Amino acid sequence: MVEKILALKNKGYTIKQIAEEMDSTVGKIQYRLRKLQKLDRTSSFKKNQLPETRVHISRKIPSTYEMDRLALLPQGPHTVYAYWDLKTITSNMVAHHFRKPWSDLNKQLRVYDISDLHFNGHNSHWYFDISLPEMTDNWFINNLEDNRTFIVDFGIQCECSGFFTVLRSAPIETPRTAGGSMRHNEAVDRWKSGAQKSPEWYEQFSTYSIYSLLK
Amino acid sequence: MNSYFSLVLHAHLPFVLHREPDRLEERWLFEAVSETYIPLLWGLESCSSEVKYTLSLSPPLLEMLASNTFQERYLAHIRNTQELLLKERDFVKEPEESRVVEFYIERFKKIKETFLEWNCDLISAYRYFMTQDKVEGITSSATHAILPYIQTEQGIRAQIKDGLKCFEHHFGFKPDGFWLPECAFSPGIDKVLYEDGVRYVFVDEDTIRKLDPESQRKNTPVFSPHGIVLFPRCVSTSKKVWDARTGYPGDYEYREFYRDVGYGRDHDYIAPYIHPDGIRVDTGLKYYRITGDTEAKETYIREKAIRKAEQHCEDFLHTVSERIKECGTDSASVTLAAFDAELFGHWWFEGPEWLQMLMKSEKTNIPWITPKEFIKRHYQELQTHHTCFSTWGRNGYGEVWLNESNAWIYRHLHAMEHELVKQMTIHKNPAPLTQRALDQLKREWLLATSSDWSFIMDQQSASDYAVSRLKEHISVFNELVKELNDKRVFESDLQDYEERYPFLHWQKGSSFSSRHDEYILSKPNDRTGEKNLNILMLSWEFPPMVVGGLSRHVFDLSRTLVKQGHQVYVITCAVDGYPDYEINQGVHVFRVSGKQPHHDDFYHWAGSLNIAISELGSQLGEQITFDCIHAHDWIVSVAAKGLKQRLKIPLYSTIHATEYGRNKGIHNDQQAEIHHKEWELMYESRHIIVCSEYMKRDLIEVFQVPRDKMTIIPNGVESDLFKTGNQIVDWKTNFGGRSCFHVFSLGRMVPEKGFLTLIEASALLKNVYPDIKFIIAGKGPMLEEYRNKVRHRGLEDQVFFIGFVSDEERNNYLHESDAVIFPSHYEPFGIVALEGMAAGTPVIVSDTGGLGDIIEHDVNGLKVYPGNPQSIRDQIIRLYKDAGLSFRICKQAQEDVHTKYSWEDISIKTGEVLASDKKKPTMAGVK
Repeated sequence: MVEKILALKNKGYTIKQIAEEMDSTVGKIQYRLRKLQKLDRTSSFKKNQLPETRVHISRKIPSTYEMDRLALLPQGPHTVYAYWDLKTITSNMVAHHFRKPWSDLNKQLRVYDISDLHFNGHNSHWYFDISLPEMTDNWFINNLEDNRTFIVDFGIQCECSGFFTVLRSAPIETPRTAGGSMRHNEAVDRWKSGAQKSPEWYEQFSTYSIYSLLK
Repeated sequence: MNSYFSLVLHAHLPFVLHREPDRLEERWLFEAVSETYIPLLWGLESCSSEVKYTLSLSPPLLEMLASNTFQERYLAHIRNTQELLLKERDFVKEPEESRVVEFYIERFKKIKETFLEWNCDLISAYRYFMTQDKVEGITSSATHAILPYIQTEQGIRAQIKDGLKCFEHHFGFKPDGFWLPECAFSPGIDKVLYEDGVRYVFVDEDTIRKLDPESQRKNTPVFSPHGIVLFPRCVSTSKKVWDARTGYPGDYEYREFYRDVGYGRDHDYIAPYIHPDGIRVDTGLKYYRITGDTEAKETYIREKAIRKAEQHCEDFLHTVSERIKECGTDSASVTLAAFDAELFGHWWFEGPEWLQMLMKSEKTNIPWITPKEFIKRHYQELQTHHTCFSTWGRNGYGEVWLNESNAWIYRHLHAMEHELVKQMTIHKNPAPLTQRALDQLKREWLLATSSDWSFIMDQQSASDYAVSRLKEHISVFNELVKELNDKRVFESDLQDYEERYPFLHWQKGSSFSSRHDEYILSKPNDRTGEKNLNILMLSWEFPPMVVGGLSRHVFDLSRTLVKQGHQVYVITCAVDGYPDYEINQGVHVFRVSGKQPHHDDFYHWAGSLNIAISELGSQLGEQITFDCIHAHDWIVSVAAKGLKQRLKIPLYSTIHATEYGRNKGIHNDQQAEIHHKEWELMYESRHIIVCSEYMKRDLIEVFQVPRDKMTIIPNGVESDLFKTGNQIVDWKTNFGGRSCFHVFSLGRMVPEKGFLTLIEASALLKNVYPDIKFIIAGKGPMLEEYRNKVRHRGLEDQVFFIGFVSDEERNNYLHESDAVIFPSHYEPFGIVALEGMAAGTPVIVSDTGGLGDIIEHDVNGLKVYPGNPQSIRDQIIRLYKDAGLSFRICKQAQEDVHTKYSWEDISIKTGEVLASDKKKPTMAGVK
């Protein structure tokens, strides 16, 4: 109903005409439109407003950042959102390493299940690959298992069938579902008893340091 | 009694108070004040302090309520509404409607009175009721960010700390309860909360169902691992109020939200009371009741609505007491109803009255408790559980704030977070203007992280404002970063940025850095003198990792460069059991490993290592002003080129050997790749160091390197290293006894080292001079084959392939043998020959490559034709017979070692090459 009202309104009909067209009353149409407008009331009319500031605010935002990162955010027990950026130096180096233009390289995400492992780049329980369309910088990774730990690599599918890692995410734990599997029981006991200096499970935040690799 | 009822309201609006007036979104605040925040005060006024609820006031809301701009505009808004009401009094004809108008006239009079009574300062009103013990005040994160979607601990801490500080600023005390925005929890947040003095938060009931270990009681609070008490919201009870279909607010007697005179009057009539641009908006005057599932609405009858609220109050009390009974008394529990405060009044117009009735009801004996009091009484009974990521949003996790419509924002928000850490780290003790810019930078980030923006985008229909606000904060942030980086902060611009939103203006001197960064920055990092260089040296081999001669060369070169006063930072490959960073004889040694340290393919293994080298090199370059990069061989070429571009400093390389030379040509794809990398490294280098005339000729022939792009600096030998150690074992007894003539050789067991020729030579000597013995050390792929060969030829008593020897053993052999020999076919330099010379033993070499350059026949050693056993035989016999020859060539060899091949000499020459392009001191501050 709302769609039809809007369609007619866009054609230039007055509310009265719409009411006639739809065999309804002016009050009802107005009521519908109001409800809609209530939701929509912030969406237009900005142009006519006062200049907000003396300084021009461009509202232009970069499409990418000059940093090497692959970040993961949990959406739910089965979905993780990944986005990534690459420094120019890094994509240049990878292109240099493969001796091919960056755009000719096949990009992939490799998702490792590293639950309860000390991951060394090779020893996951299992992994799967996602081939990425060119010019992609983010992905919703679906169909994951709940209550597991994952690491994601962004890299290049080598011609010889190998995989070359360019970026690696921090580990992420998918949340549990109600009544789902559990695995931290003993770790909680050890943590409670003070036997561990820090918890054995992953906590999402680490202190960001601009000199993280320096000692 | 240990089963209780608790009520929590969370009041929050995003910061929508713009400097310029008449923004539509500002009316969200006005509506909430008239409909919720003031009516809640009326409730508090009339209640006794026996029942007490908990009220969270978010920092953006507090900052808006405290702002003079808001107070003036709100007063004007109320006056305007009152004016409209007077017009309405004349306009409305129906008696029932007139009664509603009179109700509003009365109500707005009271609203204004309350507002003025508290001197336009509603915070002071809430403060008063907190001191009267009628309400427990807590707060939320600084801008109501979804904390699990903040990336760094610093970011989380800022959101939590600034939230608490803001509350303390307005109320004079620091709360120990905290409203997690959207009840969003994830492991680790509790650590920061605890460290900042928070003791309890609220989560969804479902969060309690997902604990590990499992909890049997969903109404019993638990401890998070870091000691925060998590109070679960009781869904079934809360649902009575907020559920859109089955909840109380949908009752037909209650006021209809969607019918407002702002939309129901002629434009000319209503124009002064809606937006100046003619945009119709809610005036807050709504005359109808919900009536039913119909569009024909009937007039609102206040008395009936209030009676309904009374019924709903009774129903609620009944539900709660049933619930409490169900909980039993086995363990302490709390039935906790938690709501957005704006639900009361704004959405459910009669909500505040209902709440008031609930608190005053004498008909029940429901035991109210605040979470704070609950903890005091029962904390010892609470269990600790691992708590996973969860929220009170759709489906219990993050999908409202993270989906296709809004996921794009996190790239920017996280980048801002990182940049903030960086800016606050590099600007230590900033000038006042810089400090202001840093503070504003943080405000922009805070305002951008508000959960409201992603929430609005999730609603799809009205997201323009949210998108615009985000883009505004991001772009201003980036503009300020640019000004800070350019060291040109304009005060007038900055002031303008600050005045856009009166948010946290009282907060100054923010800090956001990490302890680690502070430590790094506090480390002295001065170069030792004007002429000296900061050299970034790249080599995949470095002690203790020794594959060939490269490792020793880089070590000796770097430590002698340090002796010359240069600073040398070597980045090399990680070795198990060795530190990531050490200072070895003055050399800074960094060891890194690639992300795939066991890659099947050596070529990709090297690529992976290069990326790690470049990552560390870039970070080092942030802190240290390097003068140049010095790379050794192709394995580090990708990083060398990358870092050259990144750090904008010249690259020098030393070419120790080539793939072409090693294989006598390029025969397969892998070799071609390596060959190309070598070419590229030379191409990218400002200047190339080679160790011998031979190598130079090779590079000219194979790679067409211009002659004047190369400098020959021979490899060196540290004569001190070859002083005689204590002889522990008399090794000669194993090889024919002391009276025999021992010829020693060593090297990797690969064809180009020429050991096969040596076996042939021994066969020629066997019958004539059986007391000439060959001892050959080293391992490699050909070792077994050589040993077999020796057996086949019956040379077991003449030739001994002894495998790997330690450095000490090797030195003993070099010292005590009667001759050392290097029969290589390919040897770009042959540092081993120098070691033999340094050990004071006569040296015989093949006249090939660098070996031929070092040895001058009959002067400081002897030469043989490569691959020619007779030639080897002849020269060995000469030494065997002529002790005088031995003495003479050893003497000259020693002299050469101490002059031409001393590391001191070499490091001076290398330093000169590396300094040939040193930037002028006038370039200070520019990398």
